[in-house]
Amino acid sequence: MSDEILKIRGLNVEMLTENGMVQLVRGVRIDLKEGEIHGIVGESGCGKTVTAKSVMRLHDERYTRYSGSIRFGDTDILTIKEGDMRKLRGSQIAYVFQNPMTSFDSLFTIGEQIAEGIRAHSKLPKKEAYAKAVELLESVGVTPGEKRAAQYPHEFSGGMLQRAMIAMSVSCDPKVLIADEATTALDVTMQARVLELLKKLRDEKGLSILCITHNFGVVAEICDTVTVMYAGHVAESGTVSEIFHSPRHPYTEELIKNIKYELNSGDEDADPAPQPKSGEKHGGCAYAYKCKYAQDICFREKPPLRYVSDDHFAECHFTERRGA
Amino acid sequence: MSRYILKKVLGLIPVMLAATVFIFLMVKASGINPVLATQSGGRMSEEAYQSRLEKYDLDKSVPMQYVFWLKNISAGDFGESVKYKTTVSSLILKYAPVTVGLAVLSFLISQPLAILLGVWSAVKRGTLIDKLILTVTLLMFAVPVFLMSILVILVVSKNFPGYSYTGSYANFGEYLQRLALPAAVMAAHQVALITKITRSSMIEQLSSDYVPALRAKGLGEGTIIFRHALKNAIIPVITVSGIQFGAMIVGCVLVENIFSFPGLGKLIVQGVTVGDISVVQGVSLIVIAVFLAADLITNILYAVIDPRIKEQEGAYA
Repeated sequence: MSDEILKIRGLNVEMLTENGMVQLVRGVRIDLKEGEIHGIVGESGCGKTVTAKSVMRLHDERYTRYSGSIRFGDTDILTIKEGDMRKLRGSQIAYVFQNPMTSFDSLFTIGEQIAEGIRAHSKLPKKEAYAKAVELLESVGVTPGEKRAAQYPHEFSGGMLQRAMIAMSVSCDPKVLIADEATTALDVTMQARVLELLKKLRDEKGLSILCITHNFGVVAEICDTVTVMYAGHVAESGTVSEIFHSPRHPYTEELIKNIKYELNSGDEDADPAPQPKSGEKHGGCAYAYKCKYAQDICFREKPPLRYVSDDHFAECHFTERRGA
Repeated sequence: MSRYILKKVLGLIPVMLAATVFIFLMVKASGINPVLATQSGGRMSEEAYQSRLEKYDLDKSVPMQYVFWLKNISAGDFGESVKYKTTVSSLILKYAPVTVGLAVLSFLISQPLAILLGVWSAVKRGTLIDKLILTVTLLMFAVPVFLMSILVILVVSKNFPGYSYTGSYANFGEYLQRLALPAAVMAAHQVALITKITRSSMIEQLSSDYVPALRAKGLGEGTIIFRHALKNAIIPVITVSGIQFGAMIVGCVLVENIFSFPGLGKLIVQGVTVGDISVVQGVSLIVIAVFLAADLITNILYAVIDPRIKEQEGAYA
């Protein structure tokens, strides 16, 4: 496989809230290889968005403390100056937000907003940037580009806005795209088209994509590798087929069982996902209270990171006992 | 856009009509007879009295008086002042420049300053700067205008004995010099409200979803704050700003008195005191017209800023 373009090691993010400093993610380890789509999956509040936003340093830095490292090529994102970070945002690393309806400024046309992003990173004159915006809209299937570019966000549907946002995010040919629940707010047919679009971008532009989702279906659809997160920790990480066929962490197992269950019966109350408490102090494994295999040791000791194969690891005391 | 403006202008007509009825009835209800009120008690022949009544249309029935008045004012004729023995229009033209100048100048000082302070305190919310801005502006708001006027006069005359409060209005430099102090006092009083509204509106905008999206595009904080967040935050600010401008025309009266300015405020107060009803009616109408004009401009600005507003209006047209 090719080189890692994004390497997250031991990432901790603490944020100041009304309840004091709260640790949102602990020791996160993620590798994104060039031209790969890597999924981060987990329920809401598990820290997947916190992790993704840390890659762009989008948290309010007055209230946030990072530690660990996020390497993008040769740069450690967590240590560079804000001014240098600003140059990376949008040009090297781009972000697609969950809710397209609220992620555009409603007082500017879509074309203006895409052109603005282009002009933030190049000396392109206004007219040419706008022409490029029209082209980009056409390329993601928002047609006719000329007319659409002159419209305001409220004249777009959610699906079109999300495609416009993707067009905007790739306008400066970034190396990494972070898609944060990019399909969650869309209806099912639109979801499929947006996923297709992401795949196409990866194939045509060699984009590396970090795909954040709570939906294992999305992972199965487009991801090559996946990281499962639980309560701010990485539970398990590996290639999609390995994770699907031989999950080594009981939480992954539960998640996979849940999608199968949902597909079969459509009963959503059947097994509500356990809610992790952010900031809760654990002596042992974060998942121990919910885990049906939990032993004494799980409550006492932090589980080690265990490699099952070269690129498949899980944080569990009993990775060997189950799976395969 | 022109349709939108036309609709808004047409919408003002019934309001203006209602205002004329209201002003007319208020003045009538006072029971003042302007002919008697301005003559030195009863030493007028019956004929002279009758002819004067006729001159001011006061011999007609009340509804007819209204109709005649309305006809005259729509032709730009506000009648004649019984006290000054000259047309109300010429009086208004003579007194308005002071009031309008005072209002415009203090508006031009207070609004940009207040918006900048509001943005600053929103960006720095929770810090010492934020608290300082809020406290100082609130303090200036809490001190009554007349008190601040007197204090300013005392301080300036002690430290700058050469400062001239007088001068003709024909010379623009002297005009500005006369207006500067009262305008500053009025501006200081107005800053608090707009600062607070800008601050809370900006805080709301800065925590919207589109702000991290703009940041993710690689835009600098300045662009995000002024080009995007402020533009979104400005609508409630403009609303209050427009009302404040209208209110200032009336609010000038106190300041005008303390700085002994010949303005509309002085004119209307005098008119009420001596029972000069054409003056009272005329000035009231002008003040209301200014209010409505400010409101019209506010409405046009809404549509210029927010593309959705025109369409919503269109939906109900």
